[in-house]
Order: sequence, then C-alpha cells, then structure tokens
Amino acid sequence: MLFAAITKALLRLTAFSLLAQTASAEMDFARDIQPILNENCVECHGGVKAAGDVSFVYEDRVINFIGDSGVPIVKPGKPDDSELIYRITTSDEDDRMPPPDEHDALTEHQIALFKKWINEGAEWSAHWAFQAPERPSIPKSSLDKKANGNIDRFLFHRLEAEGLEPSPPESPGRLLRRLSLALTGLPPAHSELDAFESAYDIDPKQAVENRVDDLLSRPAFGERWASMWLDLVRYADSGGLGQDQKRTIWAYRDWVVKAFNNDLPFDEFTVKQLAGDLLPDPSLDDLVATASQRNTQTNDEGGTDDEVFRVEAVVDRINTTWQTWGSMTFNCVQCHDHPYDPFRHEEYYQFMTFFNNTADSDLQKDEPFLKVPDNPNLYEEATELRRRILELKGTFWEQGNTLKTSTDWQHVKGLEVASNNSTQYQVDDSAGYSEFQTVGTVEIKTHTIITIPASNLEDQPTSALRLTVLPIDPDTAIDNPPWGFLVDEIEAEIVDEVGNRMPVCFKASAPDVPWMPTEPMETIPPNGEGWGADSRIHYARDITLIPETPIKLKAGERLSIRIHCNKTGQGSHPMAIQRGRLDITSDDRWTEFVSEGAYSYALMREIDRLTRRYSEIPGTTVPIMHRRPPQLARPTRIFERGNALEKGETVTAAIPASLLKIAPVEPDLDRLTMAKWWVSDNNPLTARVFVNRIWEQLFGTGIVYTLEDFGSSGEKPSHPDLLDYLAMRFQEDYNWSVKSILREIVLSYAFQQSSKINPKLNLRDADNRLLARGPRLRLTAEMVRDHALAVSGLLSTEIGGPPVHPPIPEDIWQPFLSQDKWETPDRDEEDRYRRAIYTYVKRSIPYPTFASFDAPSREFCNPRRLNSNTPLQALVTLNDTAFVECAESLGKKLERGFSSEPISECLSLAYRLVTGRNPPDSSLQELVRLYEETLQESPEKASTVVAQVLLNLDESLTY
Amino acid sequence: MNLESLLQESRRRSLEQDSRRQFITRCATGLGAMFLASQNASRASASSSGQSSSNPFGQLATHFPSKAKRVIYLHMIGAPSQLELFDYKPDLKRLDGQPCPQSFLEGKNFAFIQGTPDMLGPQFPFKQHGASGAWVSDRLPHFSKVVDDISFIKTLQTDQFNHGPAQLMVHSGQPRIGYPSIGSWVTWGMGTENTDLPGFVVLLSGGRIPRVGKALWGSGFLPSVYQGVQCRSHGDPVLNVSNPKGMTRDLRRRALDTIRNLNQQTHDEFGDSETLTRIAQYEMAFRMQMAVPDAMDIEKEPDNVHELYGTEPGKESFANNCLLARRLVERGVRYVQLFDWGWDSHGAASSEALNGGFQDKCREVDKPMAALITDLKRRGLLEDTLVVWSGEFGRTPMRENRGGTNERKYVGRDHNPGAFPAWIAGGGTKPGISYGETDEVGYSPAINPVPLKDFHATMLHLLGFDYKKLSVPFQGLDQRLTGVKDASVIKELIA
Repeated sequence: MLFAAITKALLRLTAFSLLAQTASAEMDFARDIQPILNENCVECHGGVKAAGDVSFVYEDRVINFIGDSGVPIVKPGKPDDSELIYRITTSDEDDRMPPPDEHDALTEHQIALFKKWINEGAEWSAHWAFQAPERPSIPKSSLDKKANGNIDRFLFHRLEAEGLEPSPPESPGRLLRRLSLALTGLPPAHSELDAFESAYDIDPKQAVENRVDDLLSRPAFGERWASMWLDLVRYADSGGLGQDQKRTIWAYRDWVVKAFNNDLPFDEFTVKQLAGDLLPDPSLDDLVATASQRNTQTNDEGGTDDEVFRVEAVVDRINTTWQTWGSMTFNCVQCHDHPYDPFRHEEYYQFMTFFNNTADSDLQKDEPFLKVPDNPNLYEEATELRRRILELKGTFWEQGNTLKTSTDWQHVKGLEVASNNSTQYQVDDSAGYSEFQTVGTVEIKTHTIITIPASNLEDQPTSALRLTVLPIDPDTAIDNPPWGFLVDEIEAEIVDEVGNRMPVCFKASAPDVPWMPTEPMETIPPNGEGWGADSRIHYARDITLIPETPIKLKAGERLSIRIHCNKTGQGSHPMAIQRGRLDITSDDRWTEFVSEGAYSYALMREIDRLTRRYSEIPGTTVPIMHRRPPQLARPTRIFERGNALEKGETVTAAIPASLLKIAPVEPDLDRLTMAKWWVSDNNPLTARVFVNRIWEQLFGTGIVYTLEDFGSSGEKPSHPDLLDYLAMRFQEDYNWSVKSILREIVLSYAFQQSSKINPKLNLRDADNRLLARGPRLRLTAEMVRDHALAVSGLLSTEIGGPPVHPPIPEDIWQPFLSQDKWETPDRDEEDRYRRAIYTYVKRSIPYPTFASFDAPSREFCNPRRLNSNTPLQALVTLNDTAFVECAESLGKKLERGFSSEPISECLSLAYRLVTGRNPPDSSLQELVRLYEETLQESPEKASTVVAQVLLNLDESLTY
Repeated sequence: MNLESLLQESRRRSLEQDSRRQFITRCATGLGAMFLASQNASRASASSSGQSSSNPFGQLATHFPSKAKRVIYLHMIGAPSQLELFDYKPDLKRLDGQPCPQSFLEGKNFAFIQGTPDMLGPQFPFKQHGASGAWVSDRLPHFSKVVDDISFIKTLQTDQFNHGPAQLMVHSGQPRIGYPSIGSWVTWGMGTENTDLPGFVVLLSGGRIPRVGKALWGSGFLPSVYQGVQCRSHGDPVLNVSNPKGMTRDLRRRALDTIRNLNQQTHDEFGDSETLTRIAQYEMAFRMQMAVPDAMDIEKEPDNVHELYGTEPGKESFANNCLLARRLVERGVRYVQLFDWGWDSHGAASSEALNGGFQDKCREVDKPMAALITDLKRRGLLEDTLVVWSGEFGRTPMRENRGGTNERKYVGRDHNPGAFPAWIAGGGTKPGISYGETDEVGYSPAINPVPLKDFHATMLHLLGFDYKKLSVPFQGLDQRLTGVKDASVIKELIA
C-alpha cells in the first residue's frame, strides 16, 4: 500500500547531477580531490582505519609523509615522486590502490586530476564548512531587473548560467497564504486576503513589506518557528525510556516561543540554552533556557542503572549540540576518529568534559529543577528571591565550612554498628578508630544504627558530630562510582544502663557542599528529601550534625544514632551507607553556631523565610542545568571504542583542534566559553547551519541538502556564495536577528514567484533547488491541524501553558503508567482547540495525527523531517474526530452563508479561504453539484460533506 | 469477496464519466512510473558505497532467491524464563537453594539481584517430545506436539539487561530509540503483496503496551511510511478507518469523487506530481476502509478454527492475534508483529511469579502458538512464512532477592542478557533441530553463542537479503539492522 508514497526527498538524484559544479582551471582540493578520496580511499586510509599510518583525513599524514615504501605519499609539485601516483597507476596487482580485488581502478580522469593537483603544489584546503565564511561579491546577471535584493542576484546568476528564467510572480492571494503559513503557520482570513489584494494592486512591494512586518510581529510567529527548534532539541513532555513518565518542562517550550517572538538574538539564544546557568547572576529565564539540555531521555524503568543513563544523556547532549549548531556527525567520534572529517576520538571526550559535571543524573523526579511563576509579572520577584536564597545558603555553608576546617575533630573509637534489617556491618578498629562497612548483601531501606560508648563522650561535652560516608572502594569510585546513599532522617538518643532512652535534638546540619539537588537540612525531619550522593558516590562525603545543647554522657550510657536510608535507586538499589566513620568535637563554637542570636542562626531563619515565600508563588517547575561543586567534579575519561565500561585516559576540556585553528576560544574553558565559542566571530558553522535550516523551512530544501551533515560526506551547497552571504548578513549585519534574516529571504523574488511546475523544468530540477519557481510544500504536521482549526473558526489563540489534550482516537492512549491520563476538554472548552505545538508530547505514544504527518517523536535531535504522502494521512483528515469537528464547524459557517448568499458565492469564498484563490469554474461547479446532490439525500450532512471536501483538497494541504 | 466488489464499485463509478476514466489511466501509469523511479532512487541511495555499480538492486526483488516471503514475529514482552520452558537443566535442580557461586556474579550487572542470591532449580518437569526429541516443560502441552516443525536456538545473547533497551535491541538492533525496526527494513526492502492492507502490521494482546511503545515498530531514519501500523481487534481496526457517524459509504464515495476531480484540476494547473500521489492515496484509503475490517474480522472463521486457536471474537488476546496473523499473511501482509505481555517473572508479586502468573501466561500462549504452526502448515503457508518466537533476554538461574531479602512467598528470576532462547519455524528454516547449548545452569552459552546481530542477519538471509547490503547511509554511517560490526548468518538453521 504505502509504496507509491516514497518521499520527494528520495527522488533527488537527477537534481544532484544538475548541480555538479563545472571544474574550473585551478584545482581545488575540497572540490576535486577529496570526493575521490572519500569514495575510494578513506575506508582503509581514513579516520577509522589508517593502514600504513596513511590517513587522507589529515594533511600531515599525506603531504610529505613518508610511508612504508620510504617515499612521500604526496610530494608537492612532483607527481612522479609521489607514492600515491605510483599506487593508483601501477599495473602491479600487489601494489595497486585501491586493491584490485575490492575496488575498481580509478578512472583516467581521476588520475589526471590527482596529477594536476600535485603538479600545482598539492594545496590542501580545508573542507568548505571548516573555512570561515567570507563576504562574497554580489554577482550580476541579465535577470537582475526582476531581483528584489541580493538573494535573487545569486540565484539569478546561477539560473542564467543554466539557461533558465524565474517564474512569473505568484498571485497575490496565494502569495499571502504562502507568507502567512510560512511565517506564522496559519492561513490568512478573508478580510486579510481582501485587504492584501487591494493594497497589492496599488503597490505590490509595499503591500508585501507591510504584511511581512505585520506577520513577523504576531505571537503566532513564535509558535510556528518554535516547532522547528523543538525538533532539534528533542522537546517532549515525557521522559522517554522506562515508564516514559510525564515530565514537566513546558516552561522551556514557552521560553522558545517567547524567544522567537522577542527576536532574541541567536547568539544569546545559543548561550542561554547551553550555559544560561553559568552566566553571571542568571535570571530565571536564563535558567529555564538551560532546560534545552534537559530534554534528554531518562530511564525510570525499575532496576536500571542511573549512571548508564546519565552518561547516555551526556552523550546525547554532545551529539545534539554538534548537530543543532554545527550540522556535524560528531557522534561518529564517540567510538573512533571520524572517518571523513578531522575530528579525533579523544576530542569527543574533551568535549564531553563540558557536559559531564552537571548535577542531574537520571533521577526519578528530574532533579535538579527550578520553580518558575505562572505569572510572568512575578518573574523578577522570583529571580530576586532565588538569588537571595542562594546567596544566603552560600554564606551559611561558608560559615559552617570554615568552622569545620578549623575544628579539632576526634575520631570515634569502639563503635557498634547494626542495622534494622538483614544488612550487616563490620567495624574495624585497627587504625585506632572505628570504621564500619557492610558485608554481604545489602538490603533496601537500611537504617544504620551506630552506638557510641560513653568512653568517647564522657570527658567533655560534644558540640558536634561529623558523619563521613565513603565508597566501599574509594580508589576506584572516582572513575567507576558505585551506587550512592541518601539519608532521609537522622535520629539520636541517649540510652542509659537500664535501657531508658532520651532523645537528642539536632538543631542544624552543615554539609560538605553548598547545594545539590537535595537539601542537607532535610536530614533532620522525618521523611525528608535527604542529603547524600544521589545516585552515585565518587568521593567521601560528610555532614556535621549540631545538637541544640552539647551532649555529655555519664559512665554506662551510650549514644545511639539511627540514620534512615529509605530511598532506593530506581526501585531496586539500596541507597544505604556502605562505609563510614564518625568524628566528634567539643569545640563550643558549634553550639554558638546554632544559638539564637548567632549570625548563622539568623541566616537559617532567613533562608527558611525566603524559601517559604518562594514556595508560595504559584508556579510550575522546569528541570535545569546545574554545575556540581568543584570538589565533587567528575573526571572525564576516554571511553575505549566508545564503551563506557572501558575507561581510558583522563582528558580536559577542549574544542576540536581542526576548528580551533579557525575559531579560537577564550581561555578558562568551561561550558559557558564553549557556548560562546559557537557564536564567536570566526565560527564557520553556526550561522551557516542556522540560515540553511531557515532556508529549508521556507523552500523545502536546504542550500545544503543534507541539513544533518555539513561534513565532507554531506552534500555541498547548491549556492555556496549565497549561503555565505546569508550567514554574514545574519551574523554581522543583523546581529543574529532571526526576524531580520527571515524578512530578507521572504522578500526575495524567488520566494514570491509562482509555484507552478512546468514539466520541462521539472525534468531538469525536480527538487527546485535552482528556484526557477516558487516553493510548493505540504503543510507540516502542526500546520495540518492549525490550518483546519483556523479556517473552520475553532482555533484558540491562547498562548503557552501546560500541555493540552485534544481529541485522540479511542484505544490509543494506553500509557505504561495509568495515572498519566488523557482527558480531552469538552467541545465548549478552548483547550480542545489549541495550536498543535501545545499538544502533550509523549514519546512512547506520539499524537497520531502528527505522527501520520511525519512529525518525529523527539527521542533525539531531529534535523530534518522526511515528508510522506500516505493513505493513513487521508484517513486522519477525513475521519479523525478533530478534523470532523472542523468540517462540521466550517459546514455551519457555510450554512449561515447559504441563508443570505447564493450557494456558488459561498462555496467560492470557502474555497478561497482554504486555498487563497478563487476556484476554477469546473471546480466550483463540482462543489455546487456535490452540495446539491447531497442535499437531496442527506440534507443534514450536505454542508459538512462539502466542508470536508474543502479541508481535504490537495491545495488546502499544501502552500 | 469484498475486495472484488469494491474494485467493481470503484470501476463502475469511474466509467460514469469519461474524464474520470481518462484520469484513472493516466494516474495509474503516472503513479506506477513514479513509484519505480522513487524505488530506484531510494535503492541507489541505500546501497553502501562501492556496491552501487556492481550491485544494482532489482525493483522488489531481494538480493537472492529465498523461501521466506513473510514474517510472523511473536514477542513475549517481559522475557519468559528459558529454564521453565525450553532449556532443561537437571544440574540446576541439584543446586536449588544453595548460595550462588561468586564466579557467576563477578563483573555482572543485575536489575534487582543484590549481594549473593540463592540458586533456583527448574520449577516444572521437562520431557522430550516428537521425533526430534526436543525438551519442553509440561507448561506447554500443545506446543510440545508441533516441535518437529520448530528449530530452537538456546543461546541468543544481548548486551542489555533492562526491558526497554533490550526490546529495542531485538527489534531494531540498537538499544536506543530512533532506528528502523525489522519490519520496516523488510517492507522497505521488499514492498508488500497487498496494497489494500498495511505491509507491516502490529498486534498487541491487550494488557500493558510495551514500555517504549511505538518505537518498537518505528521506521527510524527510513521514511515514515515504513513504520508498523497497529491493528486492533476491537474498536477501529486501524486508526480512523471507520467513517464518522452518519457518513455512509456512498456519501464518502461521492465526496472522494469531488476531491479527486478538484485535485485533478489542481494538478492540471500546478503540475505537481505529489498531487497525483495524493489522489491515489485517497483512493487507497477508501479501499483500506473495506479491506482492513474484512481482514480483521475473525468471526467468520469456522468453529474448528476457533477451537484450534482457542479464539473468542471481540476480545483482545494473543489467541485472536495468532489467528489474525494467519489471516493477514494469507492476504499478503509482509510482516506481522505480535506482542504478548506479562512475562517478567521476577516473583515480586503473584502476577509475575513462576509459581503464579507465569503459568497463566503459558496457558494463554500454548494452544494458539501450536495452532498457528498447524494452521499455516495445513494451508501450505508455513513453507514461505517465517515464524519467530522470542523474549528480549533470558532469566537468571538464581532466585531473585529484590531489595536484598530472601524471604519471599513468590518465586522469580532476574534478567539475564547472557543467554536466552528463541524458536523459529517455516520459511526455509531447518525443522526439528536445536542450536547452541548453555552451561549446566543455563546462565551463559557453552556452545555456539548467537549475538542478536547474527540472529538478525539470519532472519534477513532467510528473506533473501544480504544483511550487509540492506543498508542506508545516515549520520555518516552505512546503517544496517545488524549495526556496524560484521555479523554471521547461522547456516545450521537453514534448510
């Protein structure tokens, strides 16, 4: 069934040969030589395999590189002294390259190219995408009188060379429909069509400019363009793997919409998403932006290994960053050097260092997260409150830490350690103090019960106890951390000789690090969120517990401390203390520390007060990026052959050398400098990549066809100068303003010409890459819904907020977790008719309409949607409840019209509404006949049937 | 037959108007031509570098002739215990209740086992069956009777020990979401025999859906048309296949005629071949609206068939799906994927214990599995239909001690990626054999381990594909079902 529906994308072979550049007199390595090497040589002499140490990916492994034969592989100017020429020309079967049993010999032409290249000096030029764009000169052509700006001059120049001409202008109605859908994802209303057509009659250019400016300023603009971005950053409202739990992260989606609407410059847009948390004094918005990185999948399946999926998320962040901003297949480098592009295996892990030190670790509730107010007017207050809380917490921590380091601690001896269950501890006193650790199987919900004999505590009052928790094997834990621990309550009591118990009250706890996903103070009340190493323990951790008054034991008394660890890792791993020791002190500064009147005490109170204030602001949460404190930093080591279990050398942060040559980076590398590097002046990728994505959205095909690969195995740009021109305009002239670059493109003649396809042109350029006609595109998945709602008058214009649940076919919603309900609002509720972008995105159950129309399910970065054309799509727009309601609503509109206007008039108007033009006579007659015939047989259905036909026209579904 | 009357109906209507008839003719050739062109284009772009010139792909022909034309894959979601079904381990019985030797635990990851668990002997008696002498436990009395048509693999291996990633490994060769499933590769590579039905159909037994959901039948980086289509035994058999309330088939036909004529007008003016494709797809949708419900309606099957399978029309069940699978392959569907559920026998609750729910699950699948083999065979379909049965990993010979405790009422086993069984039948496989042997406790392969990629390569081989050539370039790699590394076809399994 589905075979006739292969995408246009796969029909592009003819077009590609059409685009092949004619060879100029001078040789160009990237253009003339590299493609031959990539096709014939790099399989054995490339990044993955470098037989005889020869690699055609790297200049220094070829030019003047002495191979096994003792002769340079390539000696510039001397083809006859170059091993390469000997190898590709020899008739000796043992020596010939490529090997005769595996490959055909190179053609005469290819050999000639190699000789010419070496003769001319064997210049090794970098692949085009690794050279910074330069401002090209604007070409001229005889077609320029039609040009509406420089974009057209580039395109026309090429058309002229191909002996082609642009098409006539699009009709104003269809043009407005194209502009409206392209810029806002919504079709124009009747009144807009009327107004535009009359303005166009007077001054077409002005009419278009005015309308474009208007469209760019509408809130719908951000909603349309956010979809493109959300595909890249794999936005979803659920976690993905495991139980695919609901994830509350829509504040990020709204941030993206807002960013496009406010025309947030793309450089800031970039930096905030990659490292907003590291900006000085970040605003709530800056932090929300970092949720971009938290769209990685989590695995909440019971029994999974959090560390495995934390690493997977880090890997995904690397790959997504390189794909989104660089269109590079950097993911290849996870396992080996890049087969075609100059990226080394270790550079992957150097880059990993940027992402490897955030606090998130595949935890059940997506910690760490941030609470943001529902009401945008409260953002400023909340930002300030948060800043203050963090500052005070920092001060409190510093105070505690200073005290801790200047305290004279005494190791505790003679401990007895037991548990509440089958977990067993043994105590080792051989070092002169007690260290305890588990033996055998550790059970979940283990409480560690430590009994301190009076001998430790009877001489002097104890003002503080310090609990240190260690990994079972501290030497290996740094690189291969075992499951950690999470303390959710600590109780203490003094037990006398006859067993009477007297509770000891802890007033505060001072942790070893300032702030982590969970709150250290939560160790004191029962069932707190707790303190600990969640989910893994790399280093020894400690917490100081301060009793309200110093503890002093009498002879025969004991102090019993019960540490509750009720939490489990992914439902199965005990988050129990497996090894530890205790220290005590009688330093009375600790008592002072928690006494009313002390500064630290005031701090605690104030933190408490402000935290309560913050929690009272109505709001939602969003997972964010948060850097782990330096003392807990995870070292990053190379994964041998990409295998996380086989760790190699430790690496430090770096940008790949091949790009660093072109775009240097600020010193003191961290995630923030990396983020800034992407949008630095000389970065050759970012601006090109983004304008190419925009181009593809508007014209259906990128200037670089392979949106996902700007590397040397991807396709070359069809119009390299135009790509660079646009990149320079975007980055320099417009200071990264997305609206400005979009405006320039849609104002081009090319975008506004007729999309009629003439058969002759179609044979030459089926993909329309030369743009001798305007674009003709199928509506995107989102537009299919929004368009139907808009023309039928049902569309809600509400912006943002929690995801919504429009009608969904029966039996589809069977989530793994039944509490994740799909409750569709009634027909009188606006939320039933929101724009597509607000629909709940559950990765394991994609909304069927969107999936049918090729929306990805957002597990990973999706650089390009492949359009299909299938019978299942027809079933959606004909039978799906959401579309049936649209047909009914449009039908009712028609009926109202029929009561006052002639039938043909009404149908003509409706046709114009869904297509942007008046119907051809024959089509109108067909519609009238359908209406009249149906009216005879099923009068109550007649208008709905006609409306349904209108909504299902090819012209309604394309623009 | 319904399909025939439908085509006649459609033909009659198109003859009513001369212009319409002309359109049909034009459309058919136009589409046919386009279809071939796109096929070739996709093939050309699909072949990995170096193969394009020496190995041009035929239209829908596979790389070499093969017996298997269709696949029915039965996946027991949750991973059934091999030690209670097909892998008979008398030694394990003797070790029952003893602490697990440390050598089994070192360097291993477990989902739920903590510390040192105890060994757990087989929970049910085994016997040899048929001329082939296959060992099967007493939980599968019906299936035991067809073992001579089956070949067993005892030593499948995966590297994933959690359900989601492991299920993805089985169906896409990768533990991550976003790669094409076997059904997508196969329908992409072979097309399908009946254009009125989806080429790749997915049937779920009801209960819980697999945790990664649609990703198990996704098309990954292949065009989305190759993803599996879930068909249901109650409600709409395919999403939106029923007309909305009050919309009769006649009314729909009339509306589609208008759509077709208006779209034809659009094509005449704008000349976009996508418009012609859309016309054809709307017509195909109309035919599907008849063909799918017809194929999915098991009520008409005779009593003896219902008896054989144990089917009850209208219910969601594995039995109904087995019968549906036969009906679908009979109608030319290329790949039918069944998912059963509830096989995760940890022993954490009665429903998932070897001494509880496991036995019910065995009862639910025993009869229909056997019926499917019997039925396909007697209809002559087994010889060109490959039937595959598996879970996503095996289970441990140790008793699960979740949370570190040993006092439990229910008996269960943890996940074991090291060795798990599958069986295959029909489609050119060699019946009545057992391939690979596990160690004395069924924990790891002792002889002939079968990594999933080899299993995939063998499946593809049975269908006439060279696993290396069924590839598509994506993100800088020639992507294959078997992954980047070389795989081996297991010749011993092929007749």
